[in-house]
Amino acid sequence: MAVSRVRTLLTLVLGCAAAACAQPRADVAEAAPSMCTLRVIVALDTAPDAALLADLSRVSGARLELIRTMTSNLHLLALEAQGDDSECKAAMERLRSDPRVRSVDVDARRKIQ
Amino acid sequence: MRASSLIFGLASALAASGAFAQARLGPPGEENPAAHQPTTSAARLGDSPAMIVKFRSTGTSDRTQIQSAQGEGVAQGQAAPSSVVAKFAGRSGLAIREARGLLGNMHLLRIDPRAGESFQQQLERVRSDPDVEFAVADERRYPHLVPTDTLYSTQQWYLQNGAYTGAGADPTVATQPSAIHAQSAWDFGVGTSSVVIAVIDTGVLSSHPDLGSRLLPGYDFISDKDVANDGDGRDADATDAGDWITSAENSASNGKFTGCASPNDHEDSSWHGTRVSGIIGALSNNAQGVTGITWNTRILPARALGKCGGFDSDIIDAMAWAAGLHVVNVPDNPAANWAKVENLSLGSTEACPASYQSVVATLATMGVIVVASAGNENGPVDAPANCTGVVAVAGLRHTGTKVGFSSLGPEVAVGAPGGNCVNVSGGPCLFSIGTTTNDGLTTANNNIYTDQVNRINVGTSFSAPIVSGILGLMASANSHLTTAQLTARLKESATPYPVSSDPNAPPMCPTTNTNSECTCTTSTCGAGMANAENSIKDALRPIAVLTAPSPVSSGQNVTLSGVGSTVADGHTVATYLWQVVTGSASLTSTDQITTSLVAPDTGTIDVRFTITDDAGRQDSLDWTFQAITVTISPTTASVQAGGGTQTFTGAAQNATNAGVTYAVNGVAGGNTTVGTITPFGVYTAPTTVPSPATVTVTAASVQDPTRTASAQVTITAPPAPTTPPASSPPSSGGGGGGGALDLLGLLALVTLGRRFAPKWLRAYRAS
Repeated sequence: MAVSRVRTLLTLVLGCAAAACAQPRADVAEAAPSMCTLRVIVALDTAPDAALLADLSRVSGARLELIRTMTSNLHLLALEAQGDDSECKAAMERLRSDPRVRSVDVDARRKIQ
Repeated sequence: MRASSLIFGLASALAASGAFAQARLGPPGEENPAAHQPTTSAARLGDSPAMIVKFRSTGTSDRTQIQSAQGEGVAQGQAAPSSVVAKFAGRSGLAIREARGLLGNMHLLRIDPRAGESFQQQLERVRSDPDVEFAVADERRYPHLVPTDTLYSTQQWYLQNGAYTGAGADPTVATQPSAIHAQSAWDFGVGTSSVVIAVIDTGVLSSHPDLGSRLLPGYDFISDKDVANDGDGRDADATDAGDWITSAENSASNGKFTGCASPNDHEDSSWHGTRVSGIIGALSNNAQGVTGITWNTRILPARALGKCGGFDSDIIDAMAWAAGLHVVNVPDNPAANWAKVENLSLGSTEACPASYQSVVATLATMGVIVVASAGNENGPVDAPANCTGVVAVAGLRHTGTKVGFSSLGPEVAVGAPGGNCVNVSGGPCLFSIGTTTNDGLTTANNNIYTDQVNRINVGTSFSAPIVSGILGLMASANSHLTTAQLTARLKESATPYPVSSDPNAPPMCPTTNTNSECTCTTSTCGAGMANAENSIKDALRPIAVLTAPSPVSSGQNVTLSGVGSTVADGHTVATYLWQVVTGSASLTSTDQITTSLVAPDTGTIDVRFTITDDAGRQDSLDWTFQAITVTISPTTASVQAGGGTQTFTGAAQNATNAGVTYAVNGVAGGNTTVGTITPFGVYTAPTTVPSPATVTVTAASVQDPTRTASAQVTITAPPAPTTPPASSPPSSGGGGGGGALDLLGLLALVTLGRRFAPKWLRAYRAS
């Protein structure tokens, strides 16, 4: 996350130099890419070690981080993607299509009835 | 009418009776303290227990005979005047001390035991007589249990059998068809402490005096300390810390609890888990507050909901842990506390998530049944109630119609009272679901009860625990029932939804959303209205298991087995019975746990296996065999030698594999002598006519090659070559005679010269 912001800032700074800093500072802030985040419950055949998470991150195009292992083969992951909510959903779909992934659900809120 | 009603009533009582008092009373601490039943039943008072024996019908059942039989009685020590009893006594050699005619062919008999013979053995001896239809102990019965809990009669209409008579009852709506008849159910069992019902909810107030000893320690699964509202994440304290939402939290911009209450409003603590738990198992018959549906089952609080609900990741872990599965970083739930039933009065609108489906399926394999509320959005059934295998419960008004707020749909298993108020213009909420709660608006304060004025209690959240309680009673009565069997018997036992011909009656429930009262159907509100009495009686029935080889071929010697069949806890198997109910077959045994027969060559046979327990309760399963029938079409054909073909169509009926194989004269696929046939039934005649000229094409079932059908094929010689007739011209119509024209001769004639050609040929060429 921090690395990403540094890169973004660097890009903006370089861009600013190239464009002679024509834009006001407020516009610089708006140009920062938006991020979407979700907590997802993922069913996997094997425990999600660092290598598997890295591979699934590549497949999904989103950053994945293990929050905790739940019961059985379920794991609670944080999913972060660049873009709006639709990009997070698209990343979920890409994750679902991986043969090592049995299911992906949003960690939804339930209420008393 | 009276006689038939009496017959029905008595037969029902007999069928429902626990034959022996020790079977019904259970271990210390689990008997019903309200009944004050002696440990010795009436049948055992005195020196000779009595039994009720029904002899097989002689074919007459008119009222005269029934009444006549009732009049037959004898003084103690005398022979019974009833011919059937006298014959029975003579045949069996039993010393009948007392006989009194009851209804129809039933008699009360008191028999002197043989030396060392128990009453049970005496019963078995009587049952072995071929003229005896059944023999059961003459049990003592007690008035229906009415718990002493002070709020039972006024606040717990939903448990009762009859008309609502509580304060403020409106005489025009004073009946309550959706009430679950728990009061009658308790005569058959009040639950056992070995059955645990998990409440996956907001936690429970263990300080409530009407819950305390029913509660197991439980666990708090809420990971987010703000949602948990108890200062930390997961911990071993399942106490409800309160789930109130302040106005500031509700209206904060992008806060954790933004929008969790009505706009610009706040939300008081719900004490939801305490309310749910009280319905399932508030301390019963303690002259205080309310009674639970189960009186002895234990409640396992698994806290997964806090401020503004809770998340799937915590709820699923709570479900798994309660059932006995390991959850990382959480101490395992001790085996003695593993849940048999899990109640989820929670949800939201969504398709069933795969993660829930996975854990529900896993729990089912462990014998754990999940119950969930359908939802209060008056639309499609919420998740997780809509997951396969979950017992989804819709909310009903007291009249049995769907209560407006309840969600509905085909996923619903049964309906149960959800609370409704009737008085729309003020006045008490007459049909609130009375239960335990607390009066603290934020943190817990005084432990109290819901009421019909200030703390009304409505929602499908409270329909679900009613069904969880019923399932707890069922599982206590018969621990052998699988989750599928529990669900099936719960649904079978449900009372059909009332249908009114009144034009002003509520409309039939639509398959889509409706926020109005509507008349339930089985496709919108489940199988019917949950009925505790019927359910526990159905749970007490034995469980028949029937195994047979598969597939079975005609002529095969088939052994059918009832091994694995069981009876309810505390009961014994009285009889096994095998009957051919359709078709004809000879069974090697009719009263053993296995039997054998030869599968017939034709037709259908249906064999029924019935297991009966010592209380006369039964369960049956059928085994059906349909002999495979093979057809072939056409059944006769004539095919020309030298390449003539004929397509046959063969098929096997009553077979799981309808395919057939073909043979000619017994040779699979045929050969060049008799002709060949393809796997698709295309027969090709041989080059020359075989001897004999008729061959047999046979289609045989792939599944059972002994089942065949045949067709006769006559091979004909190809027609002999012919020459054109010398005195008559060929037909000019090009019809069937055209083939006789000898083209070679014709060409020869043309070659020889036109001048010599006959007139008819010139005419032919010119045409």
